[in-house]
Amino acid sequence: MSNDEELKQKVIEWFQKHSKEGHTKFYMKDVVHDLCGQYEKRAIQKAMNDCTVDGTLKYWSTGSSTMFCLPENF
Amino acid sequence: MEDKTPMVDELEKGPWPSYVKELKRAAKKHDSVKDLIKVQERSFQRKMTQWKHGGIVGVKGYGGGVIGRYVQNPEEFPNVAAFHTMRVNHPSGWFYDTKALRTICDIWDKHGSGMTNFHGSTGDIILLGCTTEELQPTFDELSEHGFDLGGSGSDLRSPTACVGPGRCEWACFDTLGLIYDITKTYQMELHRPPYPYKTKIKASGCPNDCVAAIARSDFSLIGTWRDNLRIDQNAVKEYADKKFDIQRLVVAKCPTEAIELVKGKLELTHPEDCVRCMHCINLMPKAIRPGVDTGATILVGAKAPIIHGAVLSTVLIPFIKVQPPYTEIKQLWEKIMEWWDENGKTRERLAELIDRMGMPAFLKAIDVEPCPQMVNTPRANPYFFWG
Repeated sequence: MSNDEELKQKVIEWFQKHSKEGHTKFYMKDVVHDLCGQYEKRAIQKAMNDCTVDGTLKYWSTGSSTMFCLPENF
Repeated sequence: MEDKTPMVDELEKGPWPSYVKELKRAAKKHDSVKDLIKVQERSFQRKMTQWKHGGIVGVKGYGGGVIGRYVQNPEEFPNVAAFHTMRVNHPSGWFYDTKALRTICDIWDKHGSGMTNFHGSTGDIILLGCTTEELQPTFDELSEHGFDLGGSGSDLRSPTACVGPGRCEWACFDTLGLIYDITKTYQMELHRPPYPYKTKIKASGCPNDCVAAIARSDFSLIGTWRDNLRIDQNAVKEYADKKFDIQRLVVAKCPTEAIELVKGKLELTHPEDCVRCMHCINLMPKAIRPGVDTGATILVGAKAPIIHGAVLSTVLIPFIKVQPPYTEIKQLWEKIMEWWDENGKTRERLAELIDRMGMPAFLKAIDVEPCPQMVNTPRANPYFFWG
């Protein structure tokens, strides 16, 4: 598994774990905050965006601010 | 719900143009607009919105440009069950030819409600009322004709410029060129929301600031000049000959008493005091013009929220030459975004972050030296403490 794929997997795991705790939608900053000890901030942001392209994450927006969620929680 | 809409009909009365009349015209073509009028009647009756918002964001690969809107009672108003807004990025300075406008309207009549808003407060072309299924086909067809979506959510909102040198003799730099370049350069930031909240760049060619950059953008460039006003004394004489009261209307109203009328000649007696308010230029455009050593002032931190108070920009760079490829300006903006992204809380704009962390911390982070022009009113209060 490449580094990019590994990070995307970590991001999805993060969402799966936290989606069970009540919230289903998260800001990019929430994810970056938790994973930035292990990965570069830019790499995490890129991985999250890549996940939206391949459909493993979805954007959710109020129109003024944007969040991310798993497709099943959209 | 019955079809009668007496409260909405009230808005057709009076001598002014009425959007209700236009809605009723559109309703003959689109069932969604019929339902929209009924929804508005309902909202007037109940004195509250009948819309839910939040949800769908965009088309494939985009994190902005579509704002999800859903009606609260889809069973009652099925034709507006999903009534999303699309933001189409506007050309710099809002210059279109009629062919482009017809193209947009035809696409929108085919895929959406036919209702538009030229332009929304973001500056974008607003297409109101798209079903979820039609979002992608609308985008695809717009793309085929060279249009792209604008910003929404936590991204860089569509950069905006005044008409600049395209129509205005006072433009101190090429606002259209700069904003076009910025839009092209920051496509990622525009379409993939990476920030704590929204952010906006605006460029005004002169201090008249026709796009309200000083009040409505986190990063604004406003045209200015380093040398002195250019005064054509022959034109001044023409104004005087036509009984234009130069002393009362222009000289007496100069906020810093920088100009005087001396023996029939208008003279900039205190050029160092001129604050570029544009008053004299606006009143005597044939006689007074900006200087020739032109550029822009960069300001940061404006925002105009509905609930909390508005914040005007603060001067960051008093003067900068604005020339392609705009490297210095872009590098500065990137540094600011980096600091904001790193330190900003969710839904915290740049102005609020500067206020929270202090101007000295901000200047240090972006490597800009403090200067006197950053003080709001230097002669009145030199002791302005940031944070």
